[in-house]
Amino acid sequence: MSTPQFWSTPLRYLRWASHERPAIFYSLIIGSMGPVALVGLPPLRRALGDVDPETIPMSYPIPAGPRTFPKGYDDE
Amino acid sequence: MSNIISIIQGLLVIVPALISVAFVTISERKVMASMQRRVGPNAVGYYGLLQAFADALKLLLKEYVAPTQANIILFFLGPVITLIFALLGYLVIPYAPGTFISDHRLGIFFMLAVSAIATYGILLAGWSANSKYAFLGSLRSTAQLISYELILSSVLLLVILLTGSLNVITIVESQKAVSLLLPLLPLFIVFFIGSIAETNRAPFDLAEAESELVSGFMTEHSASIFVFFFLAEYASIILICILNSILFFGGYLSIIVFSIISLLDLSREDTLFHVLISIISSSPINLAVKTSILVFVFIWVRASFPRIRFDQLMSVCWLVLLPITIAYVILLPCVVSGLLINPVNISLL
Repeated sequence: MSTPQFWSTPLRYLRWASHERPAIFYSLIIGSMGPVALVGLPPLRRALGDVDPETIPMSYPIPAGPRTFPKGYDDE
Repeated sequence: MSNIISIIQGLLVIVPALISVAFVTISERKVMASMQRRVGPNAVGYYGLLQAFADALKLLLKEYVAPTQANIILFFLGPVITLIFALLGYLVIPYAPGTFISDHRLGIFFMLAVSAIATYGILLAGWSANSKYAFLGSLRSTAQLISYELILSSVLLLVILLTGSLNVITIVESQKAVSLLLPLLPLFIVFFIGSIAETNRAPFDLAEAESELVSGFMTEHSASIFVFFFLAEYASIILICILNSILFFGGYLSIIVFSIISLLDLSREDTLFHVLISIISSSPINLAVKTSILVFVFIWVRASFPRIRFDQLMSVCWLVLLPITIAYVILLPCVVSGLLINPVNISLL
């Protein structure tokens, strides 16, 4: 029996690949679970009650009110 | 004065490493003998324990023979490079809290780098011997080491991702709660197979396949320079077992004792018993036990599996281990990002 082609008989091809090329077949499955996890896990996490952490501030807060400029040197 | 202290520190690590090499060789011969229903070496010393020293003495007293037309300088330099770079990896190993020679920030990269340079020793020795067997052996060995290094470094990337550090001590301390074996079990298996191949051990010892290549890249090396190769091979076996236990089993930490402490809530007590427990929980004995078990598995594998063909060796690397590793390299960062998992050592930074 010839090797099945993916585009003509996909299910037969997948069965053949899982038997004949198990490392590559299951690696593709495990690897493709990555992007799925990236998209699917955050909503699942929130649904289970986890709260997103506050974003880390990247700058100091801007002071309210007018800025006071120093007159002379502090140690004088 | 500081130079003398550095030399003493170096000797304190290198001399026990070389002595342990001697005892690993004798344990290998004894274990394989018992697996094959033989007695094994039992003449020199009690239970044959001094056999390795007798072998070393014999080799050191032998006359060395260099082939004609061999490049003598490279012929001798090859084994020296291999041994030195096999021993340099011991520099960054933490044996217990605060017990190390160098607390290098990039310790893991250092170990990878020195193990990669050791390949050049094999290549130089095989090429310079002016022998077809040695040359073919060195080519095989180099191809094998370069291929399997890819696997090891890819797995290391994931360990670094989870622990958030390239420092070996931080990687060990990150495993106080749980050893990385649990989340990375499939990768440990891949890493262990890669370790066996990286150290040129059976069933991946194609570089010294006796039936084809006499003795591979070390065919023409005899007497004391052969000792260099021999020491380098076993030193790198012990080193890679230590690396395995550091990356996946928590190194010098005893996970069991930590579990008992947390279960019984003993950490707040100050009696002598609890001090003793905390000492046991992170002592060099833990690292020694874990490493010894892994070395035993190395020997066990050697006694159990037949040598595979060279094309099988390469296809195992590129068509089996590498796809699995790449699949996890894609999956794990996505899971870490999706679940917002911080690196374990966030408090140690």
